[in-house]
Amino acid sequence: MHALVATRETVTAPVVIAPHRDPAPSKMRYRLQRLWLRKYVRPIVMIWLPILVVGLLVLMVSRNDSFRGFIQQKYDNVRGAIAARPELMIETVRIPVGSVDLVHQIDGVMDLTLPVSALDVDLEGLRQIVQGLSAVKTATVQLDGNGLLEITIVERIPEMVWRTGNRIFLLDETGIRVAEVPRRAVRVDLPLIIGEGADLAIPEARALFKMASPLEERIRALVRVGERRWNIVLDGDQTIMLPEFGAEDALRLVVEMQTTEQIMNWNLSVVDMRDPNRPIIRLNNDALDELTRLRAAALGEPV
Amino acid sequence: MIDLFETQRDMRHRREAAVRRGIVAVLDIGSSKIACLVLQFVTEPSAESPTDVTIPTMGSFRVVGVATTRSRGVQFGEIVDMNETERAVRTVVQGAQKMANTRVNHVIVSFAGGRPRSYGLDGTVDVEHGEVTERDIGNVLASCEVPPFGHDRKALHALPVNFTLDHKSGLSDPRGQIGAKLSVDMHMLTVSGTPVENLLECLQRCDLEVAGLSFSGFASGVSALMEDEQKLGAAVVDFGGGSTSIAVFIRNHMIYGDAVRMGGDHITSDICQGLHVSMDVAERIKTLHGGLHATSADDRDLIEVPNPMAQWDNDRRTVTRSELIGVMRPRVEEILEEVRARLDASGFEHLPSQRIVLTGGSSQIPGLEDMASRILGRHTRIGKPLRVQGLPQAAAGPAFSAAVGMALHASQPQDECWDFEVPSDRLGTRRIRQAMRWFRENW
Repeated sequence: MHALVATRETVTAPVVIAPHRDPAPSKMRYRLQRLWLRKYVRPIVMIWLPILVVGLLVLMVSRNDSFRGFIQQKYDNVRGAIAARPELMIETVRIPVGSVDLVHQIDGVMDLTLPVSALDVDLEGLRQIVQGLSAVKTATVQLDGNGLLEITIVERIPEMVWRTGNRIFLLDETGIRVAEVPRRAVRVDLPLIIGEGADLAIPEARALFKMASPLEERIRALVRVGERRWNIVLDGDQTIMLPEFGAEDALRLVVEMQTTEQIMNWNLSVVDMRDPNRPIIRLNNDALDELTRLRAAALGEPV
Repeated sequence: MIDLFETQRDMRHRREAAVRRGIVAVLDIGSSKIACLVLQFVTEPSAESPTDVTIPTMGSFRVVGVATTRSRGVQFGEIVDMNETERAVRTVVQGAQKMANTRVNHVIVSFAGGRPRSYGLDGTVDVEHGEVTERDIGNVLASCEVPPFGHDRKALHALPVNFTLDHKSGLSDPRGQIGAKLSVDMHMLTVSGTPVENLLECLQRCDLEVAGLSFSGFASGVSALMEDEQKLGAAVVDFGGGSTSIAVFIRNHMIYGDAVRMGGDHITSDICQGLHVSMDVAERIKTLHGGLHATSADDRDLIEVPNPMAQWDNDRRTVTRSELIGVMRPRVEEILEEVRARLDASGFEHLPSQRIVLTGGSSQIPGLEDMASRILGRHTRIGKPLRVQGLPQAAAGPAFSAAVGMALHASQPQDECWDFEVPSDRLGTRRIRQAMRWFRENW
């Protein structure tokens, strides 16, 4: 039989009314707060202590080799993972301008094994290397987003052929070597300069060549003498000796004499302009004999 | 007499040092509430004095922190449970410090208990060099005959009230005047030593240094009495929670101090017993509905009394307001009768002006003014403390007149007996101690 009245636990726990205590800070808390309100405590705790702790940590890490190695390794891993992403890969290198020779030269000097990550390429270093080539005047290295490395170069244009000792070089207008050639005949179109130190006086040489344009077909070379002055060597074993200073004026004088008197067609070996006020010509032996003979004849003497 | 004042002298020096440093706290330890004000003194008066502020200020200080808490462990203004009181002081000091955002080291404490007793002292001495010097004043103060007030009592105040120089009386500062015979009237207030010891011990436990101890009636008088009232004669009655302090002022000096060991807490306990409610409820009913003068409307004014033993919601109990007034009135009458007896004993009726100012938390009972004038027989008014700079509105009521009074007293201290040099033949080791203290405070 069920009881009609539901039975349930009616015994409730006795309500304990705790004596009401007013809130108050504990002694420790009170003292700490008073300490905190001291003048110098707050800056020490808030500023100097963290600085000290961070400084100590940094010192500890930097002194501990294994820890540093661990950090280095982690760093390398992360860096490698990023570098290996396809977005950063360089697939091709393009050199839009430049002779075939030069492109080959650049390829050789660049030393890149494609594909390579852009993070691993030192672009500035690459630019320096390319610019270091003698045939390159300026170079720009540019990364395109689509795996393309573009190297734009401005070539040096050879202006002169320079022979020194047994070697023959091509020089640009500033006297920098562009290339070495085996023979003079490779670039017949360029004027030849000879002698040690000739590459340092290229502007003067250019001016002289320009000045001597009436004699152009006859000029064989410009010879630097004693690294200080020029000789112009013409065919027919003729030489124009120019002074150290004022070479252009001296040459102008010679060119004038050529146009008025065809001096270089005379039978002479040297036009000595080293003292511009007193040009000297040196006749060939047969011309000298002829001159002597003519003078004697003029005087009525027997030859 | 010399040893007697040593602690007071130390306190005075500490207070001066604290005021010079700029931060002093005022602690009013009452029976119903403990209040703490943190005062910031302006070390350079010209440094911050905005000319556009026209609030009348006394002294160059500003209240930067205020905290109040319910008092516990204090009865009749005396500590009965040291731990509880310590907790309350910690609470209140921490709150005030937090508001002021500075650390407080020195506190000035007001004290209402300890059965204060007033003595009139006088002394006479010959002036040494014709002109009264500070040394002469020290001599005359030292020559006062101290009555045997008992070993266990301490002098809380010793105020030189009046100087007489060759039959010319009523001098407040005779320095520099010519005369032959100098005499002084001094008012000394003594209290029981044990409550004071307890108080000092309690504050020491809270890591606070006591920089002054004063009678709460005196402090209330400083803040609640008008200047002319203080000058012409008035009595201040500080209705506290556990005790009612009385102080009589004339010529800016307190000439009498006493305390009745009854106060607002007794009214509350009467209500508690009379209406059968708990203490908290009684306090609430007293502050919300209390009064002293019953009218016919009050018979119909029903106050609901919560009944903690009620089992059902409809088990309610109400009392009329006249019943409540009927409970409160006899106790207030009793207190006022007692006050009147003390004032009569003090010779208050001989003063030129006989204003009575009621202040303190319990003076806010409606109708107290009328009843006090009827019983005390003179015109009375309710006194609120003077407005001081930075004091929040919540702490500007009559309940805070002792705290504010002590703040004013700290900024403009009255000369007390121990401020003057004692003649050297009675000095003993004091010089050395002074030198030691100078070293401690300055290094």
